[in-house]
Amino acid sequence: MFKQLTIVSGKGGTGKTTVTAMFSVLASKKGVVIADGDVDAANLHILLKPEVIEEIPFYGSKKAIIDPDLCVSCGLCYELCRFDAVQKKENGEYHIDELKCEGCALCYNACPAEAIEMQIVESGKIFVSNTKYGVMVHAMLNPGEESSGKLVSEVRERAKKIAEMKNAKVLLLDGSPGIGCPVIASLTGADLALVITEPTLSGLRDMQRVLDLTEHFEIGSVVAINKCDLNMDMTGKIRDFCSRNGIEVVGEIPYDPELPALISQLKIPFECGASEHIRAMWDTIKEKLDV
Amino acid sequence: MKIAASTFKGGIDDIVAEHFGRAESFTIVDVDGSEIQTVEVLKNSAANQTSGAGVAASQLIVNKDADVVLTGSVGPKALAVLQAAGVRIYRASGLKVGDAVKKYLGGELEEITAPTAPKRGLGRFKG
Amino acid sequence: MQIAIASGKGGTGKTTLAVNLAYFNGIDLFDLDVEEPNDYLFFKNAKEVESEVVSRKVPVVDQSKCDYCGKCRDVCEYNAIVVLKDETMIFPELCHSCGACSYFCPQEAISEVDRPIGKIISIKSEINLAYGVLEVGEASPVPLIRAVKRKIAGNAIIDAPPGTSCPMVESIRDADFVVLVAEPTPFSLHDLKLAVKVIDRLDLKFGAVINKHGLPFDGVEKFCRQEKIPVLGRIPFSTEIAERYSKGELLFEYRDIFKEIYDGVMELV
Repeated sequence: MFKQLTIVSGKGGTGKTTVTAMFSVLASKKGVVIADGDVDAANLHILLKPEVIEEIPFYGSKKAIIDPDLCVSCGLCYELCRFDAVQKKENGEYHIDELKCEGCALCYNACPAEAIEMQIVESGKIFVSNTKYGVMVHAMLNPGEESSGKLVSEVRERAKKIAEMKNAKVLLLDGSPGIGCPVIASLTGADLALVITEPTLSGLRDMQRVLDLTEHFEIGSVVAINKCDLNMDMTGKIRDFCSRNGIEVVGEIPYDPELPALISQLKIPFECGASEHIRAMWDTIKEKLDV
Repeated sequence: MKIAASTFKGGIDDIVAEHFGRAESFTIVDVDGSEIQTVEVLKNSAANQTSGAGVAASQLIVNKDADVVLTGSVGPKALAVLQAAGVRIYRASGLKVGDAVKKYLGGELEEITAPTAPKRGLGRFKG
Repeated sequence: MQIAIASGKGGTGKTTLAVNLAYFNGIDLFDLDVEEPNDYLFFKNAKEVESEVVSRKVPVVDQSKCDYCGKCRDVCEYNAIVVLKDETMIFPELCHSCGACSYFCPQEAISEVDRPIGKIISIKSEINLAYGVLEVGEASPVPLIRAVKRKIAGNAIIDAPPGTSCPMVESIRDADFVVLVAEPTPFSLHDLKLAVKVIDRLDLKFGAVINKHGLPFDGVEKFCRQEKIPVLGRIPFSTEIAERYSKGELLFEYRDIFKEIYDGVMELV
């Protein structure tokens, strides 16, 4: 049975993806399946360089479409739609804005002329790939599409099935920034959440909100402070907050200019000073997960 | 009495699945006394719902007039529905359906009265 | 004139740009990153003028009128309704507030009540700032983003959330110009390309600002040149700037850059 570690951040740009990539390498000895849950702005593949072996279309929510030949221009859909998705054109015809439509089907059910159809739209793709370190499941959401947790859930579910089949010991999930549906979906089933933050006011604040979220869903969490020497005062504040709330800080990684330099060469940054801290962090987390 | 077990492919010899809401199927047995009269396999249409899979699955079970559910973990919303409908839930994941039914009739199974996380994790999804 | 600041990738400097651009050009600021609002941190001495709770509608069933026909459950796309023999149950967390159930109930047994999704806080400093704070556990930020947008009147700088999906789209779609913030890293380049796709689809005017200029990756500049994307300014990579940001301080020594960027936008519009 595998353990699931979800890496989240609240604030973007704190180093989630870099840490996930490094953990993927470190965990590969134990058998790891990697999932990129940041489907809105997936970056993990840039470092892990997956070879796609399976591509699966993703069907998000449905979209309503008006058949202009059947439409009698009564305007009922326009009146009823709560998402401003129905547009009234100058010639009196009605049209549904695909980007605004939430697929609730109220117009479809209400239309007296039965002129509306609900269409399942392909809003992205899921990929199952091989990497040097383990199987990776990732996805791409078409730009502008609704980023519900559904795609993240599907990525997660596939990764879980593969982990079970391959007898992997670890499932690593790279989550997205924020606290909304996609983040919630990436936290589902996690044995542990690692929250990566940075010593800035925004970093502290956003970390607090994502910890509210993990608490709300009762998921045990630990924290890592990246670029910790950027502002030792703020790092201290983050440490204090964590200790007051019984949350363990499992890593404090100093800023190392070698790290972005290696990333810019698309290398997983093991050859820099900061990487020692990340290795040590993995050792601590390994123990907590009991793998 | 009607007993519904969360299963994979389904049937008396299938294993009871851990997750209620997204189980592949439900195996519904009609029991008279201690004899199994009929076995029905119902595909779980709720399994790949975006959200509310547990709620939709419990609606299916209620529609089938099941009295008892045998499963592993049930989320809070699905549990609320089943309890409101007077359905009782027992932990039987990992057992063969036939054995699970026998154990239930023998009073050997643990009743589930609170929402449960999948056995292995601290994670508990309330959404 | 509404100028939206977006990026695709998180952490590139949207907030840094939005806050300083608004402050040094005297324009009202709207923080639409309602999941993780940060702009207010830069206005420590501001006075809170207003705090407004924002709600969405969720259904409530009058059980005395309900005959358990199940029509509400049949029209709900989100499994938010379950109908038993003698009770209809609603799950507001799953509800998308579309109104279908109450509309179709043959017994008129369903009414709607407010469910708080977050709040809008308005503060007053040298400029005005309004920002949304999403309730933890609420699935979608979009209704709250819409509510904050309704407060926009006159010139505005909009700080959009990261990403290229629904929340970002909702935040920028009504802007007159979008400034995309990128940093010289492969991750940022990847997400910049996605952001450009969205903006093209929305048919909006846009330009780029390169933050942390000096990092060793030239892909972003190359891409902007290739695609003829106007680069309106470059904010240098400096530990001093990083430190100021970490303390929530405005970049007074760099005010000229922010004035230039604004002038650049105005010229292009």
